[in-house]
Amino acid sequence: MRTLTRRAVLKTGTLVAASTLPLPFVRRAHAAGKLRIGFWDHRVPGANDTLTKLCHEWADKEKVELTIDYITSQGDKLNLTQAAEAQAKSGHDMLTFLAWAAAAQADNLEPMDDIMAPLTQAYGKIAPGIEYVAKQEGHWISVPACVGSPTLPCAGRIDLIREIVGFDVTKAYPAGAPADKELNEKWTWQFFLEASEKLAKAGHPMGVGFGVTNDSVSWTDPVIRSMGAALVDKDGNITVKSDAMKQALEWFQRLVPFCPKYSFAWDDASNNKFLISGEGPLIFNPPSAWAVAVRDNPKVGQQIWHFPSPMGVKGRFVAAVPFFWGVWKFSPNKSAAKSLLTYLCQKSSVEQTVAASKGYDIPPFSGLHDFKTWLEEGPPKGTVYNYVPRGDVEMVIPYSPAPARIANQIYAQATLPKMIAKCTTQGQTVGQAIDWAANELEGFMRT
Amino acid sequence: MTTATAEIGGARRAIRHGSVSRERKRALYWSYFFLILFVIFFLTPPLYMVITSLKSSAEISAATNPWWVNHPTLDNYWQLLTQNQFLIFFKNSVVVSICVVAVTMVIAVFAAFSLARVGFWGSATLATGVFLTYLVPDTLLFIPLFKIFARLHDFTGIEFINHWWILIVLYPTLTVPFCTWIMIGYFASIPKELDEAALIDGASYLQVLTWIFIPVALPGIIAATIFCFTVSWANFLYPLAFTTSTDQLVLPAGIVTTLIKGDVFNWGQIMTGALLGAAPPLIIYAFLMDYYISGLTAGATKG
Repeated sequence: MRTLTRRAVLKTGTLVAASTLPLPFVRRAHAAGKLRIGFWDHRVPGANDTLTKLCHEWADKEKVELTIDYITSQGDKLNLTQAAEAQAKSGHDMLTFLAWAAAAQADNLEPMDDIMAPLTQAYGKIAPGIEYVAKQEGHWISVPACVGSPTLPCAGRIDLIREIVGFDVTKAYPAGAPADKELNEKWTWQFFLEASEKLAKAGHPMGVGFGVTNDSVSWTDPVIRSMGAALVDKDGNITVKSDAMKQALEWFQRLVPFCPKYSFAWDDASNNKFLISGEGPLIFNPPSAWAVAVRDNPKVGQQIWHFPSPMGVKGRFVAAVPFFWGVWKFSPNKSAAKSLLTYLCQKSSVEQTVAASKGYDIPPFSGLHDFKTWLEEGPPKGTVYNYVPRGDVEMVIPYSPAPARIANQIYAQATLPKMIAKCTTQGQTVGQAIDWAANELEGFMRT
Repeated sequence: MTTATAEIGGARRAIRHGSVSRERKRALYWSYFFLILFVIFFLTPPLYMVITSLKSSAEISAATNPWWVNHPTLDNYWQLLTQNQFLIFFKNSVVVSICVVAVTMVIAVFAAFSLARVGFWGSATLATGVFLTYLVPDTLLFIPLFKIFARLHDFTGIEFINHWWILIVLYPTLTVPFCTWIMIGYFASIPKELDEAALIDGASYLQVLTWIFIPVALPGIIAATIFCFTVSWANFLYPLAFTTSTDQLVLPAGIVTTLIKGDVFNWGQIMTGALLGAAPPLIIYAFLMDYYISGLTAGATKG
């Protein structure tokens, strides 16, 4: 049997006393906790570095231990990560969500009303289409990201369109000045059709895709929207069976012969390649294609100008494919995440990230569309000035204002491009294509 | 009595004698014909990859003949091999694959031996159950697995996600069932007399396994190893789901996530990365195929 010695009692007593002493609070380097963020892996080289620098500036000031992961959208990696973390209730504190994905995770995301109110007051309204997705059931469930969010306006060859179509895009949409009124009114979807025919006859078919990837799914929505057609309305009613939709599909039937035969198999890089090769006169794309053209085929790159989409009877729309920054409800450091988001949305931060992206990023706040980056980037100088929605251009998220869970499906399943395929290359009638779509949409209603 | 007679000088049917060498030649020609078709069909994509890997971005973007290299360059190879990222992916892939093969084969060999030979109540059901787990696709499994590791993190404080070594735990869930099933088949085909004789001589089960079964079933072990290596080298979904940081990626996920930025594809480097990534399995296949075939032809038992 062990005997209790005096030495043992003294030792134990000392240890107990020491552990109960009120030790002075030592402020460590990361006293405000840890934060793990997943940003979208930007396609522009160097853009990630600027964002990292800004985040670390904030972290040093706020004493937060920051870990940043740049997650690609390739292979649906971003969507995969979101799905896995939402199920597991574990992972990053804050993630980037693409387009409808934020709305799809609304139940798992922390409300952002407290930071969006001062931001919109300071920097202007958010485009209604983007607000529609970022706000669910009356609450902001994510912050529209100032980094990485593009639109898909026209990216066209100045020389080809001028020489073959007789339309000077630089005169219609000059850099640093408002659009030419007369030419702006001339730039309609009917004119686009006539231009497509002339360009196709000259050996330059229109570089628009009808595949199932992002670009194809996105550019087709503004066409039908500007003709007054929609697949599903804001109340979730199926509205595909309309005269406007018939007219829109008939328009596509007339367009398709002037496009490359294989455009129905295009992915997001195909239209870029088509433009960069010198064969394509126009695509709907962010400036990524132009940037690669400047590097790989400078003669073509110097002739690319970004300008708004054509106009329809209901207006002129451009597809936005925005990112959203959302904070998970399970995050243990939500306050730090919100503080970082507020910092990244400040004008000084946004100006730096826009410059680093060479004008690719379109800030969601209307008051942040006047940075000089868009005026100065080139060649040709000012090519991205009208990449930013200006004048009568309205930025929309494709398939809004359908309810988020349905729009998400329409987007993911590429319903509209498939409709177009059915009534063009697959030989079905417009009515049959519409009936098929109605059947598909009924299925989405059950999600 | 009538006698049937045949007229002399009447029409005769030509008598054809078969020629073995002619038949053989005909068989050979047809074999070569189909083999050539097969080679064209299956080697055209790798050929296209090689051609593209020798082109610069400018040439790939230009509307030139895709089957010809006008200005060959090794820049894509040079850039990839001097980039730390690609070498990190390669190293991670090698380490993960070797570890997974080792873990899988140890588990599979022991499991197969006990299920095929030791025999216990329920071993047949268990063997079938092992194979059925292989039928569950990994697309259904990655989210539950993600949850499991998230819970383990909560309990232990160890961060499992976003580390390359998590793949060493994950991949055996795909490889062990199938490899066990292959080995069960091989072990079951070994004559019982061999192990009975060894047991009579006083060998333990472990000695029976290591001294008799493994050498005899070596072709099967090699086949299972090849399968296991291929799965762990080429798997895409699990690395995509469970690893995020660049230094934790393996080759398949690393090539796609770092060489494709948004809608900008660096085709030259992607093809180069894919070719360099395909090289180790090709070399291993070539090396082990000879051994496998010689193992088969040597026979399982000596007379």
